[in-house]
Amino acid sequence: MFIDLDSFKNINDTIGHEMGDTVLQRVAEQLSVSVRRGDTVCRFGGDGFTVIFPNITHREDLIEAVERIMSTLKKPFTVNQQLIEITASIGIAMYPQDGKKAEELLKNADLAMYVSKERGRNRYIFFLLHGIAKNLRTNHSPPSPLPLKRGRGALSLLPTPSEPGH
Amino acid sequence: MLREVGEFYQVDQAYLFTFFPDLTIHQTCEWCGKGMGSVIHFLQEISASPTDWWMHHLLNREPILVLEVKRMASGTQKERELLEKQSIRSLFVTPLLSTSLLLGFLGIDSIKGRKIWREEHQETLQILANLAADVLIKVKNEEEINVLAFHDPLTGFPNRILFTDRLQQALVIVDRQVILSASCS
Repeated sequence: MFIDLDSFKNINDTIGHEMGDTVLQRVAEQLSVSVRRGDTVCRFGGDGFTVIFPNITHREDLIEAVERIMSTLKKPFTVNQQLIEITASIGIAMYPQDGKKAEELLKNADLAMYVSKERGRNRYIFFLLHGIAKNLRTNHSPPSPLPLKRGRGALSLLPTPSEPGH
Repeated sequence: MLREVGEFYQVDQAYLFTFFPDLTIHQTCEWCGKGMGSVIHFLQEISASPTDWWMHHLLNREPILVLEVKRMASGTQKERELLEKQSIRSLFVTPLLSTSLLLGFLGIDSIKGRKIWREEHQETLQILANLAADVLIKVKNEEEINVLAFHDPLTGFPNRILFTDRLQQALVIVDRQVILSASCS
């Protein structure tokens, strides 16, 4: 699962990098309490976090986990008397259907996360369910290796089916 | 190493203590001579204060030589009680030092008889303590490097490198479980 905070750059620009770091620490705490023992949360870089759920095999359980994370992150908190509200865009890739190798899963979770951003942020998207894989196969430009560009190029060509199940 | 030290000095026990960040002292290894009981279990989490006679010497980078525990000077009550509890008669303790820190101490005790510590013996024990200190520093540095290389300093979470490694491990475990459940069914 790839979690990217929404508009974090604005937070950094408004309250400064030092306070931005405090916000990231706070987010890290929230993530720690909203996952289960055995799950691994990692700071992937900047405002991106990744989570491995090694014990989840059903999509329903994953939905429950991601909704728990989103609702915890949504709770407003104050940093230096400033009210902070955070949302996140999340992309999910499942093994083995979304990738057989670690790099592939990561890349696809990242792609799904960008689709969440494209669809208006503050949501989660499963890689396979939203036809991202199919679309990438028909689209002649293959997915670029990590880190992906944040442009609206390839991803804006994606079909926009119904919103995720929440 | 402690056994060699103990046998070389013909003492009854040899040991290594290390300091923890919470200012407690813990015995980390011990060697006991013939007929001597182990004491490591109760020499844990001994609270230390820089003003203690014992600690004062070690912090000044000085060894501690006691020929006769019974005759220890006044102001050493706390240390004497602890040593008498272990029936120690003579002891020699030397600090484990890094460039700036006191890491712990290496020591030998005589229980059966009174011991006189000759000067060349003192020097040899200090050399051995320096070797032990180098090992401790190396282990500590490796731990620190490991934390720095694989964790994000801001959140303490695993970083990208460790994450990729964990993900690969998780996939291997899942595959193994699939094979296992397939072979059981």
